[in-house]
Amino acid sequence: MKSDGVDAWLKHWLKMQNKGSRPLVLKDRSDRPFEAHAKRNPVVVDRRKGKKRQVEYVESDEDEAPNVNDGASDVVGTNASTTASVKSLPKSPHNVPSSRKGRRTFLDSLSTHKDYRNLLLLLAAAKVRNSLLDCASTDTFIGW
Amino acid sequence: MEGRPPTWVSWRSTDPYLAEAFFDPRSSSSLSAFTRWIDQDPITADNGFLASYKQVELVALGCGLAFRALWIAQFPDRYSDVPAHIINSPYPFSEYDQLGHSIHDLLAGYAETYVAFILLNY
Repeated sequence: MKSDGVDAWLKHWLKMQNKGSRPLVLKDRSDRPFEAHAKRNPVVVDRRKGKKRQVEYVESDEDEAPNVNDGASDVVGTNASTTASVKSLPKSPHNVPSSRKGRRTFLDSLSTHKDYRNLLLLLAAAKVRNSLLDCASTDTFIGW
Repeated sequence: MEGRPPTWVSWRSTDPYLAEAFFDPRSSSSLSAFTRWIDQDPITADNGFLASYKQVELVALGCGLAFRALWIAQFPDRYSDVPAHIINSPYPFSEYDQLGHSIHDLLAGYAETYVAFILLNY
């Protein structure tokens, strides 16, 4: 990342923090029992005589990667925490199913910016409006 | 009120990344050209009411693609086969928030409409 980009991103992040949009949450490590770590980080035993057994524990840096989600990982609809190192190719609009639902899913994946999300809510309003107009245009009255 | 959007604002676009023209401020397909189109209030029909679903969807597509392009230009190492013109994007990341401001202004007249949907969703 470029240095001016880091500054801009941090300002953006701070702005989101101040708005409470993305509150900072400290991770609770208590829900990670040592056994689970032991499976992921094999214990290395020193078998040399006279030497005290040593257990080498190296903290995984898997959880230290910043979990930034602003269209970077969700462009392929996957979880950021599991695909942080996987590079993805963005989807093109042409490859999106032409159904409203398919297109809506694609639009959802493009960005998490607050104003963009509001635009998508307005899209839902437009859908309702169109449905009401369709009903009004096809409405027939039952004669007595 | 709608005008015509830049050519990349299309469901027929086959490019995974926006073309070089988007990143050329002098181009008619640039980010600023798109912003100018947004400023023309393309989500409002000639009768003054909210435009059709298809039109609002197209506006959302343009905004989403522009947001994604600015994001990728800032974090290219997360993507594969990123073209050079994106890596060398002239746009500062502040354009990301600036685009948000444009959308905010666009939605100003419809605040009550989408706020109602926010309430329905929670």
